[in-house]
Amino acid sequence: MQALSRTAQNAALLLALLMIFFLIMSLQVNRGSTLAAARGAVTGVTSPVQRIGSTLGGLVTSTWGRYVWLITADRENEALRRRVADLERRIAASDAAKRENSRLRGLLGVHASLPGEWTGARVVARDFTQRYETVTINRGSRDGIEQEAAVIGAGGALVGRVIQVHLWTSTVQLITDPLSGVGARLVNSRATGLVSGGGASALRLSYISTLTEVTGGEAIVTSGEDGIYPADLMIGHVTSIDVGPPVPGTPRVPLMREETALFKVILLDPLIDVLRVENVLVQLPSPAPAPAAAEEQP
Amino acid sequence: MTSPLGRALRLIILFLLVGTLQTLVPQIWMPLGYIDGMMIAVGLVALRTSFAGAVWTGALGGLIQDSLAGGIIGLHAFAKTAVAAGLALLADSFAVRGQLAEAVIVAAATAIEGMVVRALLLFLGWPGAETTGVLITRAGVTGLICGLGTVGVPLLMTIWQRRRRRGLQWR
Repeated sequence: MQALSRTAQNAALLLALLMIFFLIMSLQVNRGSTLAAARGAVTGVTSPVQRIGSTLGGLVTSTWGRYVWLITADRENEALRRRVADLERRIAASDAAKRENSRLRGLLGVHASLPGEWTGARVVARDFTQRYETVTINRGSRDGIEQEAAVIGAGGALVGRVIQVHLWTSTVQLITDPLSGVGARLVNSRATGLVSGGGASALRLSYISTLTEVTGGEAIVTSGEDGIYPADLMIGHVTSIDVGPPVPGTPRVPLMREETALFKVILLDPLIDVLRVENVLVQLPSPAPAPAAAEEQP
Repeated sequence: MTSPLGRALRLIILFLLVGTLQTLVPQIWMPLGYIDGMMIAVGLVALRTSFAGAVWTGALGGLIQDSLAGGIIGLHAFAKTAVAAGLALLADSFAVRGQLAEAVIVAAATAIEGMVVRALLLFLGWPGAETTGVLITRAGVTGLICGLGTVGVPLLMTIWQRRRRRGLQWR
């Protein structure tokens, strides 16, 4: 009898927890709430560790790289090996510095040409579930970052937007995330559509009319009409053009004539590999307009 | 700290460490992201504790994973709670002996957890459900790492101790 009661208690506990989690999920899906407070509490604890871990990880990687390199060089004689090691290290350091310099110059060049204020940030962590395609950057609310801020990479290519802001860090949703949507424009025809992520670095441009002329390799930029991203940021280039179903979102019917389709289905390549991006620029909120001089003086 | 609160605190610290580590390893090498360290931790704890303990462990691990992942809160918590309950039932019904058996069970649990997450995403109409290939890869890599950890480390320790003993005898 006692055993039966314990089994019933266990079953009730399991069912109660599963129901609570299901309810929480349903609320988020229906109302778009993300339980920011609960998430903030956890990331508040983990983000300092992530920052330190990222630095240590870089140190371990570089130390490991040097160790592997030294093992292969061990076949040569001692003096030559030391000399080569020294030279190789210098070249590697110089190359790394050059690459870093060029990347930062690229960002700086873009920075100067962009409207509004932007700040540089480094990617310190990536989504480990590999389901959402998000990254964590080392800038947070204390650096003036706000939710929905646009994030770009080298060459001014669009990377994503800030979806969560914590004190030290922020979470960026990449444009390749299946939940991401960006208002976009074809450069030649100026037709506007919606770029959505398909995961694994694939992007798709929807709502482009079949009457619009689109060419392979045509550039696609942000339209600025979504109220999140500034206009004319580079997103990518057209890789394939197909005729979509008569009504977007419905499956294609084999016997349906292609002339009845309303929109094209366009696939595009992002300008940069957003999954491997290291340095980014994040848009800062524009300062509030100063009150008119006349209003200041009575 | 043997009180329930003490055990819960230790689990929270363990899961926070595992979760933080998992956000960092893809930085070093991208394929390392396929290792489901949180499932390894939850699975190994669930196999060694009571049913209620396993359920709470799954819920806690899943909630921390959801908070760190930046997606829907409750998704991994639901899946991990269900899988942890299954593991506790399994450990209660059959004698799970040997670390290799545990590694195989954890690998299977990883695949099942992935399938539960996929089913939930499809049911809620939420995009981002992963492919079968990714599910199999994640389960395989997790099982391999878990197996290497549970079998390889004690094996290396035994070899090292034998060599050390021989070295002492020679002297």
